[in-house]
Amino acid sequence: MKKLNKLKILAAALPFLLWASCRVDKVVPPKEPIKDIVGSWGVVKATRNGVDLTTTFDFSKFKVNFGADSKYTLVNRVPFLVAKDGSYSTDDPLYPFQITLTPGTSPAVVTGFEYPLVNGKRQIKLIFNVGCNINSYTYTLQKDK
Amino acid sequence: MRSHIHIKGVKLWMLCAVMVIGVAITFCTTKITSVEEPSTAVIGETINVKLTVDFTAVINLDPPYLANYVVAILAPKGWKIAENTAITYTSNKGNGKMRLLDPTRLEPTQANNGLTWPQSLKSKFGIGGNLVDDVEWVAFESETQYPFANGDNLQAVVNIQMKVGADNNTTLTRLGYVVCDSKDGILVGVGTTGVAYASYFGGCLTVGGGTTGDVLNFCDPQLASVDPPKAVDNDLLTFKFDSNVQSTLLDGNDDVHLCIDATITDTGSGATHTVQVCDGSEKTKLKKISAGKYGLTIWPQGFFGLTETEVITRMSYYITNNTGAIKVGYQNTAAPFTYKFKCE
Repeated sequence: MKKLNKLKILAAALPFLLWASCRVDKVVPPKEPIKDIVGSWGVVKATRNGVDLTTTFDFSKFKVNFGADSKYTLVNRVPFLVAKDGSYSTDDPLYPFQITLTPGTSPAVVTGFEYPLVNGKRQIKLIFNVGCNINSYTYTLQKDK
Repeated sequence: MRSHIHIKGVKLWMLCAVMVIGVAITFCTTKITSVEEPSTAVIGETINVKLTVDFTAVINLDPPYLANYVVAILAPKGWKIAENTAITYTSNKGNGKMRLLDPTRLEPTQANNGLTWPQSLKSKFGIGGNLVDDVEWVAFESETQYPFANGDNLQAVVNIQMKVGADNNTTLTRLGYVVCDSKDGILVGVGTTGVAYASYFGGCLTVGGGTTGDVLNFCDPQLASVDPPKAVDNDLLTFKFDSNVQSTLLDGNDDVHLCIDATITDTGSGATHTVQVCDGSEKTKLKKISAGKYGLTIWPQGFFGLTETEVITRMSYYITNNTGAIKVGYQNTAAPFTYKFKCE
């Protein structure tokens, strides 16, 4: 008799179990964060024509400060994409592939922009020349704490 | 249902072995059997280089395919050989001319890494026998494609006519050559039979008669050098001193410095003046790289404190001890080393 009751309970629960098993959970993908580059960035790696210059030239005092007001400033300048302070923009706040720096009244400079996450820290990788296009520089910038 | 396929153990092994060997020797073999090239020339001269090539397709499992013959040349960037070279060939498959291979085209073996022909050639063969990275790889391909089939053999003679010295600099360099086909590229298979290219790096070619006053010597180790050899004053320059090249007055001295005079022109007024930095300080000290080798990287604009309107046109420099009392100059003489800022 007890066995029959258990079967009845199971039979009653079966439709619910079937419904529950087929229910589609709505998975909401995480929203792509805006790539926030606001802050002070320093050089952690620099190469010229593939030759690593990180330890042979003192980049430690050089900073690029990207402000929330879309302005940037250069501190203790070294050879860089631009020579003067100005304004900046990226082509897409979520998926930036290019960065544009406009130094004062000078023409804007556009360059490829990589934004990898390395050891839990965001980096910016820029490839540019500083006036002689046969010499190519790659700077990897990392935000100061 | 009974299977009608019966393979005995020994036969299976033999079949596998044949397949493995077949896969291993899929590629072509190419040899440059002889090279005729001059050892001297003068600026503006068109030199002739003759390569004799033996090109064999060995047990190719996917024949026939159509491909172009490719000849790549390593030469100084300043010679602009992409514009100054004509190549013809005669072969048992046909005779013809070569054209510049589009430098943005991906080289087959490095296509997955996004490397173009010049980039892939540099990645594999570097700067050949040259000591200064101011040379480039330029690839040319036959205008005609040829079918490659199993066991095909191509005997070809390639005639390269190259106008040297477009930058008007007296130059010592070692040219390099790579021959392959456009489908296999610079493929390395398994074992020596699987190499689909051949390379040859020549002796030192001296091209004289330059009128710029500069001598670009890529063949011999230099007492002092500046990298990169072509730059503007906004570039980072690395000065190198190699005391192993020859004995100098600085022998035994680890505390070596730069003593530089920069010729500075004001682009506004046109006025020119000279600034000297020769104080034996940390700013001018060359750091030891390895035994007898020293280097210092500077940013000329910052090093000489230029204003916005000033540019440096040239520098002359010595390698000195920390007091400046001992000076070593060009070719170990009392004359200074010189460096002119130019981009081309």
